[in-house]
Amino acid sequence: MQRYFQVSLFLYARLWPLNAVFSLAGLFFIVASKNLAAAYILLPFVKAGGYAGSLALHYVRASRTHLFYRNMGFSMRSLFAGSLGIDLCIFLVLAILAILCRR
Amino acid sequence: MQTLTADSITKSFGSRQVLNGVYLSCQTGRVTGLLGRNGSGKSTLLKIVYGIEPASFQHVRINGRHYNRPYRSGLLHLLSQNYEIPAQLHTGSFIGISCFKYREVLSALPFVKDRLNMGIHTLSGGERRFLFVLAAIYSDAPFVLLDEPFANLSPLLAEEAMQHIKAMKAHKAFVLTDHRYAQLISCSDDLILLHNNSNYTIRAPEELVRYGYLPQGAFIPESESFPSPL
Repeated sequence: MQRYFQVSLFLYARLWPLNAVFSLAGLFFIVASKNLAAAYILLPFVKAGGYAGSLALHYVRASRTHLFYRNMGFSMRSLFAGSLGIDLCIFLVLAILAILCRR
Repeated sequence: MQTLTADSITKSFGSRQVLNGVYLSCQTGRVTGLLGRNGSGKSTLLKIVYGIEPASFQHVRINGRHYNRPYRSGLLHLLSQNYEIPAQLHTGSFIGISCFKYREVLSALPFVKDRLNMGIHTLSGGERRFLFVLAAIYSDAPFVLLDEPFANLSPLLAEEAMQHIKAMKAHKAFVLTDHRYAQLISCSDDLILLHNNSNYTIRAPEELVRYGYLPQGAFIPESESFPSPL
């Protein structure tokens, strides 16, 4: 489990840049939106779009490195799921902080 | 002793059949050399055994247990011809994330020690390839599939890679393919030739000529896979 987390985190670091842009955009909606309910509705779509975009970019630019990850005994699907989990955890913490600051 | 058995492997690319009922077996403590002409299906066979290439039929067992995607067992390591790693990685971080069991042994090797703080992208193609070969040999997986490990390596590095394979074979099973047949033959305990879509176990040097892999009069080194004449 520790190894899975370590490799997922390693992969997440490679997916991070585009993902972060969308995460920040989501947080901006939470902080600046006049209607908080609308921001909550928009948030999952922004996050999903950001993650799907970073995955697509990874497939285009780094699909040749997949064997490197598979050699550690994990399928790409499980590693992407792990990195999504890490991403959501970080995002949830930031979103809660953003909501608290707004209030 | 751990064993890997791949049975009845059949693969076609469109109307062209590449492998037909191929059998491959290896066990820890032995090096299996896989020979064959260009396009005979050596790399395809390794990818099928590893689980990343779909086949018309395949049956892969590791220590008696059947796997659909054998690489998920964590018991296999494949070094493909166009192996790449994530960009901007340092040698030390690469070894840190890819090797656990033999990390200290690998880090202490002079070649690795001298380049531990260097970015892998700053290494030459040959140096990078040698580093990947070493990482595969000293990986945690007991079954190591090496697709053309000696390609791009200078004779000295290729010889060093061979010595590392021999040193680690007590703990691991290696399956090697390469067109440097002399080196492959000299470090193999078992030799298999892929020919006419099937596998042939090679027990005498003349068989390589008879099956049309080597020309008449080609140099063939001594090998464990050739039993001594009585």
